[in-house]
Amino acid sequence: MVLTHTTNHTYNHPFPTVTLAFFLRYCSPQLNPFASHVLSTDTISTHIDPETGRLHTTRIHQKKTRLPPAVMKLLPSTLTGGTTDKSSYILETSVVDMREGWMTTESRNLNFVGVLSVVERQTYAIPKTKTLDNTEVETKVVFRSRLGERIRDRLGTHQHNQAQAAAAIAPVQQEGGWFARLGARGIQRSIESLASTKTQDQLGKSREGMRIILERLRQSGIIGVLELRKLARERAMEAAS
Amino acid sequence: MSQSLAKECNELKERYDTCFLKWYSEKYLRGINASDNNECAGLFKEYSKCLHTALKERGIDKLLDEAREDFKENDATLLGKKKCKWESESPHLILTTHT
Repeated sequence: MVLTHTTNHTYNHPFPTVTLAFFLRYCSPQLNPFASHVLSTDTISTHIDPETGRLHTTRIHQKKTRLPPAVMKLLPSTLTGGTTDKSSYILETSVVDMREGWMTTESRNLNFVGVLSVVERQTYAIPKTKTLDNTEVETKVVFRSRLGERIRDRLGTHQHNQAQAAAAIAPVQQEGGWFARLGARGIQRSIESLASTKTQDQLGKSREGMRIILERLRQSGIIGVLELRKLARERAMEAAS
Repeated sequence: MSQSLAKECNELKERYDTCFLKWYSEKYLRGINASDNNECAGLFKEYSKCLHTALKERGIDKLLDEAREDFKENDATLLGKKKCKWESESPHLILTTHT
């Protein structure tokens, strides 16, 4: 069961600036009010391919919400831990090729992959018309729920884990009988479509966030943005102390 | 940038991020010394050391390993067809991390 959603968008900013905004987009809620749900951002790895000159970066983002609340309601507390307030991690990989003028990015959730896996892939490029003031981006999001499948897989493949897996699935089947009522396929479909609706809404916000960063870059340049970032950080530290 | 997931790495992260953003905007984007990002390598090494300890302590390293396993499984099965199409469109997307 897979649901795919594709959108296209054009930013009225040159390609290099858009790639910079991509790296800056979660820098601080003061710079991007649409990033207040992002708790942390870390770079796991970064390197330049000496042959191609491409910059490869892997980052991990920590976000406030784990799953859309509507999805949480569908799931028994044995699977969700019963709370909605904890954070989840997103793994982001990106490749920038400044010579050829493109960037590809991919973001995946690291938590609850068995319940719902969301993979967002973006391709940023200079328009084919060579309009250097614009940047085109294609966003493709793939939703996939494998709820129930993994538990069954484990039952089938690891005999010694059978008791453990059976124990894991038992409360799922008992709790309100939701699994039996809707069936795994129905639940998977509901989760995918609920998540898809929520994500379309979020894509708009993420674009809005990029636009704000891009405007800041246009107005005050990178040095100005770095200054703002520094000020915001100092203020945050003062507030904390 | 925003905070590090580990408070104890914030200072090192901040120093690296500032270096990276300066290098990226002033050099990489302009094609100056675009074949290496060594000037921030020292700062990255220190930050990375702190971060990897934190990832281990929080069990996130396991989450990353699991995710990598899952990518392979996912891509080989249900997403097979789409993945191939994607790869032909942009063959340079790399999922493995280089540390």
